[in-house]
This record gives sequence, C-alpha cells and structure tokens, in this order.
Amino acid sequence: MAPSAAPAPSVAPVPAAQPDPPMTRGEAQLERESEERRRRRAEALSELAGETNEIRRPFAPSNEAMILLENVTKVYPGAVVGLDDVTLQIDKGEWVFLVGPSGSGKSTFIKLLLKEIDATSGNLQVGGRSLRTLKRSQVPKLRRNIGCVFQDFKLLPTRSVYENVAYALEVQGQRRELIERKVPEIIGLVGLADKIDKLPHELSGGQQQRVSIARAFVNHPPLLICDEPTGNLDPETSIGIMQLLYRINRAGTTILMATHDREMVDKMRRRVIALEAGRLARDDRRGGYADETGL
Amino acid sequence: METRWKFFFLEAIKSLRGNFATTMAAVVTVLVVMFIAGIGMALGSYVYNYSNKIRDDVTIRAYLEDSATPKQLATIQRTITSTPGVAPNSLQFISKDDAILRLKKQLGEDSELLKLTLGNPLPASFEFKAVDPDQTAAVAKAVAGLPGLEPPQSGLPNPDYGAGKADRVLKTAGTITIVMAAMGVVLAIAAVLLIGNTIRLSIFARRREVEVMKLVGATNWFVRLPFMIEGMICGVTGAALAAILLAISYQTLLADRINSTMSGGGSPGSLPFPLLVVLLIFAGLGIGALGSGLTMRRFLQV
Repeated sequence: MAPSAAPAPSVAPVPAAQPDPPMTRGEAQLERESEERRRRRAEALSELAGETNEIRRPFAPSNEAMILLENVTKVYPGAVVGLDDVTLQIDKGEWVFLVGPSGSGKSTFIKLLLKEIDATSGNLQVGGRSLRTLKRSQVPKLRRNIGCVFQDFKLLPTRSVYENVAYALEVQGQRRELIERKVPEIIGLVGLADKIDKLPHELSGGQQQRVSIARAFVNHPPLLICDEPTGNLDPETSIGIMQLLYRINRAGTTILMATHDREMVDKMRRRVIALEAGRLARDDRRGGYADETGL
Repeated sequence: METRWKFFFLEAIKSLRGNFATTMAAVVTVLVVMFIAGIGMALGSYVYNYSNKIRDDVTIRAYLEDSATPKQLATIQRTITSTPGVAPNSLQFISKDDAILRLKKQLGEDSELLKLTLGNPLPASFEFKAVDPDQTAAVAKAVAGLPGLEPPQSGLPNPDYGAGKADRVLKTAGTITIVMAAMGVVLAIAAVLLIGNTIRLSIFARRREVEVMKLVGATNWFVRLPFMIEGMICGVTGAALAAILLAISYQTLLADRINSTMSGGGSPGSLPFPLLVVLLIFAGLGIGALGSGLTMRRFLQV
C-alpha cells in the first residue's frame, strides 16, 4: 500500500483539550470569563492564521493533480442536478475549502470522490485514477487512500477509541504488530492517549472528532476529505481540530474541506472553491468565505 | 490467513455481546422454529416408518379345513410358492396347536375365554407375504378357492389379509405423511422468513456501522463475514438448545407412552435422535449463514 509505505509525517502531538473551567457565581465573573474566552479564541485564530501566513511561501503546489474534474455532471433520478459541468483541479498537498449553501453540490462532490455515487458524465480522477473505469471491487482500495472526517464523526459506537482507529488498518489486513504499534502512536498524536479505551459516547464532540481524524489519518492517506468537520463543535474546540488538520496538511496530505465556518475560511485565506446550484461559482487561490466583491 | 479468521471470529463475538438483545431474539427465534421442526421431523418420520412397518407386516393367512388331506395341503403349498409376487421364505405353516399356543400367548394362560372353549376350535393355516405390499390382494386371490381351504363367509374372507383394516391404516398413514410433509414445507418457509427478518432487524439497527466500515475501505466480505459468523453462532446455539429441549420433552412426555402403546412387534422407531440433532444443527448453521449473508447484500450497497 502506498500510504503505509510513506514516511510518518512530523506531526507534533497536540495536548489534550483543556477541561472547561468550573461554573462560577456572579455575573461579573461570568462576563469576565466570556471575555477571557473570546480573547483566547481570537488569539488561537490569529495564531492559526499566522501559521498559515508563514507556510504560504514554502507551500508549493506540485502541479500534480490529486483531484481532477473535467466537465463532471451528476444528475440524480428525477432530474435533480447535483453537480453541473464542473471542471477543476486540486493539486497534491493543497488545502482547499469547499463552500456553498446547502444543496449547492458539496455533498455530491464528496460522494463522487468516494465513489459512493457515479458521475452522470464527465471525467473524474482521484490520485491519477479515473473513477469511471474503476471497478466496484477496487472501491475499497480507493477509500483506503482517502481519509474521511465527517460532521457526525461516524465512529463505530460499540468500539473503543483504539478499536475504531485500528479498524481502518484491519480492513487492509495489516499485521497485528503493526496495528499495535501504529494505533497508540496516532492516538497520542491527536492528544487522546488517556482516552484510548473509552467508547465514543464517553467522549466530548471535539474528542470524538479527534478520534475520527486519527482513524482517517492512520493510513497516512494522500487525501483527506472533511465534510464540515467542525459543524457540530463549539468555536474553541473547532480551532483545536483545525490546528490538527493543519499539521496533517503540512505533512503533505491534501485536504479538501467542505465547511460553513465563515470566520475560519476568512482567517486562513486558503484556496476556496464555491459551489452554487451545482455550478462552480468561484475558485480563489486565497479566498474568503464570501466573494470579495461582497456578494 | 489464520489471524484473519481469528479476527473475524472475535469481531463476531464482540458484536454478539454488544448487541445482546438482538442476539437473544435471533437465538430464541431459531430455538422455537427448530423445536417445532424437530417435533415435526420426529413425528413425521415416526408415522412414515410406522406405516411402512404396517405395510411390510401385512400377512396373508389361508385357513385350512380340518378335513384337508395331505395331498390338498401339498397342492396349496405348491400354489403359494409358485405364485409370482410371494416373498420367498415367508411361507409358514401354522398348525392347530401353533394357533392355540399363539392365542394363549396373546390372551394369557388364565384367560376366561380359553377356559370356556372346548378342544381346539382354531384352524391350521398357511401364512405368507407379498414381496410388494401393494400386491397383497392379487397374491391372495391366486390362492383363493383351492380345495382344502375353508370356504369364505361374509366378513370372513379366506385367504384373509385384513383387507379393510390394513387399507384404512395405510390410507391414514399416507394422509398423515402428506400433511406432515406439507406442514414441514410451510414451517421451513416460515422459519427462513422469520429468521431472515430477525437478522434483518439486527443488521438494520447497525446499518450505520456497516456504512462506516465501507467508508473506511472495508471490502464487502470483510463486513459480511463477521455478520455471517454471528448468524451461524446464533443458528447453532438455537438449534442446540432446541435439541436439548426436544430430548427433555421426549424423555419426560413421550418415552413411556410410545413404548407402552407400541410394545410387541418391536418399536417401529423414528429418526434416530443423534441424526435429528445433527440435522437440526446443520440447519441452524445454514439458516444463520445464509440468512445473514443474503440479508447483508442490501446494506452493502454503500
């Protein structure tokens, strides 16, 4: 497998999420606290933005396509248009935000990449492989090379953190020794070393999302698709998740993130692909969430 | 490969424990179905064997006049042995003494009836069987009317093979066998549907899990195998419990009664119990594996 052969990325461990400060009495104190939270969030955001600014220069797209769409159209039964003649290229190592209102085609785009559905017409390639000619039996292989992080985490509810992450390696028939070595390592990396035997429902939303990122990344896939990874999380937790994803991206993994988080997109100033009614409405190298012209 | 099987097996055990309620539902379903099927199979085979035994046991008796001469007896014997369709070696001569001894055995030495009879009123007879039980009537006819035989009277045909009685028993047994077979078919269909439905419920409750497995890159077989092993474990457990229950109920309810009513002439015997258990276990295994394997197909289209 190509991804497992790749060298382990130099991702620094993230400290475990801080527990919320205890409840306090007194309005003044509450206010002071929310003030404090706002400040911390602003700091963290600018830190993230600072990191992205810093990385902009060394960031050099390889011009090798990770994802390539040529006139891709998806029409669902009942003439519902999911994607309408979309042509775009996402290079290896890029970080791309996918934005647009609900029903604009973001989910269709992601489902096409995972070959959950097939395009009605057009050419769609992932990692240089055409998905049109990809056999059904090859779909699992495709998915092992694409990490997925979802808004609702999609963890296996009856399995521990360890088992959830290990499952992604087990489906490939990896050897037990390798699994036993790799899984704790990646769980430590996302800052959940002390939660390794917990079940998903015993974790907070942010922690669950870290587990799902660990699972998505344990193969070191060249492509990580995130479908509103912070959609269910509070802003502070979101930043932690974004930092984690950012580190993964810096290690060379292409990241495609569908999101509604306007602030995040505006701050990070990365490539933004906007969809509207299935059409490619905007593709900015360093875009914001909304069009610069104030749409 | 060995470790993979271990993995699949552990997966199955894990999810069996994790989904205790559905596991129990599936096991109990198999248990009930297998128990009823077991009773049906035992009874069905019992009736089938019993009716076969009656058919095979149909004996033709040609009663002889006390005044029959040895020459007449020789002619009758020759006629019987040369009639096509008579089972070779089945011919037996029952003398008057043999006949009274047999009756004494049946009624008991102290029977009032025997005390009242003077001398020996029973006739001597030739007893023989047809090779094919269905040919009994034809074979009997070949002997009828020979000199030396007692003349037939109304209600007392000679030769006598219990025509009316045997026919009724055979007809009834045939009907029972057909009804049993029909019930068996209906039961089998009901069992498969019921078990399939239980498995579907169990998988439906976990369809999100299956979806996630597929998204992480599991092949269909990788997802399906633990489910199938799970189904097989449920099936075998249910079948084994049904076998135990069958054994208990046979011992406590039926054993004495069957032995007493069927005593004499040896028990016709039904399907041997170990064979029944093996059949049930394999049926449980097959239903479990097939039921979950086939039901999975719908949920694997992710």
